[in-house]
Amino acid sequence: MSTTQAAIRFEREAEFALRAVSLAGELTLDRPERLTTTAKESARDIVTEVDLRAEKLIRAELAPLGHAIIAEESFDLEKDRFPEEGTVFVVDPVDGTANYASGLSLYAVSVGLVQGGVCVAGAVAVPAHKELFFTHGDRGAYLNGRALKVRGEGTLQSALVAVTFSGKQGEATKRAREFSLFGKVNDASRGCLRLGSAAVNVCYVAAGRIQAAYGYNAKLWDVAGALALAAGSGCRVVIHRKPGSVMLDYVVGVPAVVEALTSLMEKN
Amino acid sequence: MTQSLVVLGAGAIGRGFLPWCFDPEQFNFVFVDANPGIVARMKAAGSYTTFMVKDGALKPLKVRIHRALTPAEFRAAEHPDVAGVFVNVGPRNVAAVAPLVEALSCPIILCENDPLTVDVLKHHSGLERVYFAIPDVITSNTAPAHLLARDSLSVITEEGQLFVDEAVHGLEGKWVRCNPRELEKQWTAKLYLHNTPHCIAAYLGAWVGVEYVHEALAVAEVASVVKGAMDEMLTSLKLRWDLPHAFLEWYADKELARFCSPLLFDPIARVAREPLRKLELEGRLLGAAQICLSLGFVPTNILTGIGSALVFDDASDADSHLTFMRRALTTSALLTHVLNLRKGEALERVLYEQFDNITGRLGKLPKRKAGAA
Repeated sequence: MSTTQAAIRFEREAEFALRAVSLAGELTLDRPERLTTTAKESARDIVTEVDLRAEKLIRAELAPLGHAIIAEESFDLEKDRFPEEGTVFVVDPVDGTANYASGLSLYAVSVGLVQGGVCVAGAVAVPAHKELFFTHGDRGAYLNGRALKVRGEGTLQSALVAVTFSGKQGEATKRAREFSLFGKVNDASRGCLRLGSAAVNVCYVAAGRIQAAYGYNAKLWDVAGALALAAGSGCRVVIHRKPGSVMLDYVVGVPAVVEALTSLMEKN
Repeated sequence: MTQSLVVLGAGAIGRGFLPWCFDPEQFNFVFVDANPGIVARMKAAGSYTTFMVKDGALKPLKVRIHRALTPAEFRAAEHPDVAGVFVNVGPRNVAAVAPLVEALSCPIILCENDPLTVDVLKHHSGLERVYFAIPDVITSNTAPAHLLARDSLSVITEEGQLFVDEAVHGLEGKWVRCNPRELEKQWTAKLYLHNTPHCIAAYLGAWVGVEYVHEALAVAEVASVVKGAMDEMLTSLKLRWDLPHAFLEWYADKELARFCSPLLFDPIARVAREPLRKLELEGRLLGAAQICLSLGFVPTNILTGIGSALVFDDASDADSHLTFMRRALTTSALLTHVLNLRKGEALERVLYEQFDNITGRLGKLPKRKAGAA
């Protein structure tokens, strides 16, 4: 049977993204004995010299394609706006820096490609675990070359869920609601984990290791790469982001679990 | 009394080889295939011909198609007379057949070129009556143009043997029942003296630009690598396993003769498909090379085969993203992240150090122009 294959979109961008996260991931493995950390928005929101070196390397790798690059360590949250027009690489050189700085293995290097506000392609390295998650252009989702396909069925009760909280505490009542929801999800499921990296959470959903992940006030660079491959693996992806902003709320996972989580969120 | 045999996967083994293993007077064939195009053609045709290469000629067997169904159309309850189910859907798809077979009480026999698939199906179906079988045969999933013109479903097979787990009960066929030791012997020979050189022949054939395995073996440089890989595995098996040397040598000669058969029309696209599966850590290429290294010698020809698998480039293949990864990743990342080798282990070091030599060797192979084969 002959089939006509549609052209793969963003294949070159995805190739550059995969190369960039792979090389930057290698760089992070060469972790200095003593890391210099600097606090940003809060004591939990830190940057190390490895973040800065990795971002520089990724920028250099992506530069030949000529697309805009938005990267965590060089974006000014007060002044800069996310460009909604055109094709934009969104880079997080180390997602989960607090883990990384403490010598924990759950951190990621992430590059997402966003077009028209949609995460269309991406690559995420989890270097300490020797894992490369990526899309092939705008298609599919792969882990070290093996295709990822999320199974459609599932319930919140039997689901393992992961959450990220914003590094910035913000309004007290809003924060209290986030913690209240965390407790409800934890009780309604097999558990609600805080792994310390949004990119890792979402990649693990795409890999079927956990069934859903959500976060409030996340930054687009945390999850842009991972959300593209979660969509490619068959996950349901729900995002709320205001145009021009890099801040977003997201829920991603097995469709039935996402539905149950959304319902809990609305009641919270 | 006539009973039914359900054949899941109407490809090379399912359509071409299995009908030769059963008396057509005793069994009705129910074919189930995920390709709706094949199913529609089978429904319309009502029968097809499988040809066996025998004594240098093609012997036909007309197979009556009792039913042809897609997986969505198959209902176990509609087949109360099923005597056995044969699964030939490809190792990656075995878990997906569990819902089709879990209500059946007959033996489920897997011809999947990977004994671990038995555990996969047992796990997903909850059934215990799942058995491994080894079709010791090369069967093409197509036929030459003049046969296809008469019957587009026709296929060509060798006169092979089906080795089946002796634990299968309630079903008899023209096959060889094996105890666990004999089955392991046959599987070891199949994996390393058939699968390893066969896929190397296919990847090198794809690289030089021919369509069929026998055409690849007609290229002297390719034949030299394939025979070299066979020798490397033969040496390894003799050293590592307590298997009769005469059996191993007979098996190797038999396989090389098979690969060269101009009557089989064994498509390279079929044998080379899913290169990432063939590059699994314990499999026919990396596993084979690891055995050689563990015995103290560098298997130059198998390494060339690994290189040729890594450069396999077929946009229609399920693993076509391998080309994408090869472009994106450094050699080191390719070896550790795609082949899952540990940095510094023997095979990783040898492949890393010899990668340029391997690609250089491939570069020297003569290329055929498309369509010139």
